[in-house]
Amino acid sequence: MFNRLRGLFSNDLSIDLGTANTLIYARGKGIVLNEPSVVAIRMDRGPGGPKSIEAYGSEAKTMLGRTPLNIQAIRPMRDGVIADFNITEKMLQFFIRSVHEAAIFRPSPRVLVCVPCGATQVERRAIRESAIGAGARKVYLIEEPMAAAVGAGMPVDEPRGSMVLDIGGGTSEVAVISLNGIVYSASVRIGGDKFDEAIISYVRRNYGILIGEATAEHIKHEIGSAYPGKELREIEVKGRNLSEGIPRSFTLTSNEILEALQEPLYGIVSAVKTALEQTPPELGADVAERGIVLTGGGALLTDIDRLIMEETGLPVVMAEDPKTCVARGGGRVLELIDEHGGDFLAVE
Amino acid sequence: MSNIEIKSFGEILRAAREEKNIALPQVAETLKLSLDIVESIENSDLDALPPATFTCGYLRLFAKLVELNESDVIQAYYDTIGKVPTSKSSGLGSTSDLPTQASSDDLGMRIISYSLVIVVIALFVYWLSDSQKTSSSALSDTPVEKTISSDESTGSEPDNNQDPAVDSAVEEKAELNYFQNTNQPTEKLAEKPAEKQTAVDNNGLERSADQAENTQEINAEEEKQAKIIALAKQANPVADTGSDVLLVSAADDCWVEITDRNGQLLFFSLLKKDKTVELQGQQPFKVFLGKATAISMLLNDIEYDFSKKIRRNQVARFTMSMNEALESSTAQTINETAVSADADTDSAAN
Repeated sequence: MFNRLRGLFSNDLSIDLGTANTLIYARGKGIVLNEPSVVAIRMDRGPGGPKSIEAYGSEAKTMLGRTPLNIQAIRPMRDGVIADFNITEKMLQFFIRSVHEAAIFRPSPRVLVCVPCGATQVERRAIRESAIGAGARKVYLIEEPMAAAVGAGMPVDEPRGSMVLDIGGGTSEVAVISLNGIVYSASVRIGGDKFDEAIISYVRRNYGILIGEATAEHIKHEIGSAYPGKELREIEVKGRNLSEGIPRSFTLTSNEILEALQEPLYGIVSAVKTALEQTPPELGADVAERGIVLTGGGALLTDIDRLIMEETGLPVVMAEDPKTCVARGGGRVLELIDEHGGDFLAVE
Repeated sequence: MSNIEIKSFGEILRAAREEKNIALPQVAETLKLSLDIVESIENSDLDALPPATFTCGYLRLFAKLVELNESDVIQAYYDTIGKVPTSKSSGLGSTSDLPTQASSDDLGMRIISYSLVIVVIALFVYWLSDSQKTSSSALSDTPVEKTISSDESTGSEPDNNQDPAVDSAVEEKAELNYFQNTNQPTEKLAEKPAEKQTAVDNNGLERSADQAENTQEINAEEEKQAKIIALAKQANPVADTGSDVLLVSAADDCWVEITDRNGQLLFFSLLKKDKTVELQGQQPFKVFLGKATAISMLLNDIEYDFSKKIRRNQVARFTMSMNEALESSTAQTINETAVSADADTDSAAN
């Protein structure tokens, strides 16, 4: 009953509930939150005891892989969908509250959440439920590539094919959009996480050294690339030598990382190629003329646009501020819902 | 560097390309763009270029190829489309102009809702203080004023019928009349309503027909004052001692809670069927009755009529004072007298 009243004191939010990062766009304010989707849980009296939340977001992320027995750092999202329902709900609740700092009442915003287009009904329902559990008054779901395309500023309302490739933390989504609707979409469960895993297994295989996820991510950010560049970059990293059991320092080069990333990158490229094959010819021609737009955090991998350009022979452009495209697009869609109704929304 | 600001983005790129000695088809080949688009980029031909998202992407790639600073070229592009009225950035992508509108709208809504909340609180506070005031005014000794004001609402005839220029003679007459009028009904107030009516009838017949209407109305008002004064005189002996006697009798089992002026609990239990209790305390009494229809009350031997205060579920919660008791009993009698007086004037006119 008081939801409507509380709603007056809450902003409309667009949430990009990603595997790696959660971004919140508040209507009229812009991006208000950008935190890793990590929660640290303290289990009092040892594992299995009563649980309480120790930290959220970036604070919890620093704890990943560095926790004692009674604390567990969890990433509640895997492959773009919810892996741990309760923790996701708690995390969302915390994030929604933290963007309503000045609120007297418990915030009760309208929330638009992005779901991967490959998400099953059960996974969509889970996302909706967790957003309601986190205090949302009303929950809209939108497919991620749609939000990404709107956020990138593509002319989605025109009768003209636009292809968007959103490389996220857990999934990569490719979609062809025309007239506010998705003509073709595909989702592959390859993203930033898979890149990290590939680096870990490459280092383990070739150097016999074990590195953690955080180190792998750091390597990817520093010297990771998707296409052979002119300059060779190097990084010194430390990891545990498997045969000696002692931490050792060693040097990796960008070419090695390129080699390590070949497999996940090939997965993404083949998804794009399949999408181009499946696209109706008229829309395919439009895509060929204007090109593919890259969004998502994975698009920041050096020269990934170049790789796709060479592989497909089509122009590939990077969206402005690719990491926030989905959240911004969701925010724009929230405005459009008020103006025109829910053309864009995903069916559950 | 100052040249860059004057040049358009196409000119910057062309200059850099010629400096690097790269042919135009080669650029198109590397960027996988058609030659037309590359040419229109160099000519800064905005109409031939796709929306900003794509064009920015092309410009970045182009700038990377010719080893220029990407942001400079993008800035030059935005400067250009900023000048051109048919700007393509007004599509879906640009949200820059909307947020301010949305936030001001939001602020308006907030102010409205905050002020609503404040108004509600203010009304609540006013209601609280008002209810306190009425209970305290019931305590104060101004019975005459109170009855007149309540008379306006309960009286049988509306006041606007009354001639504003009533002669002083009429008034005098009226006063005379009411002394004759009132004494009888007051004495027999509770016991014999039938007798009362005949008394009034007699008085009504004495009056002349032309003055009858005016005097009747004035009578109705002033009668009441007189009655109250008389009743108050009756009751005063008890009131002066500082303790009032409240007689509560039950026709059926009923929960009764009675607190007096000092908050002292006089009665707090189930009153059994056909029982009567006598309570002593200072008025006003705060009364709570579980089954109010079964209860009758006598305050200082005056019957207290609380039938209007009974809620639908038979529960009644009210504050009773001597003044109210007088009012409730006089209001009844006056209604009756007024009705009968009307009937008299009708018959006299005929």
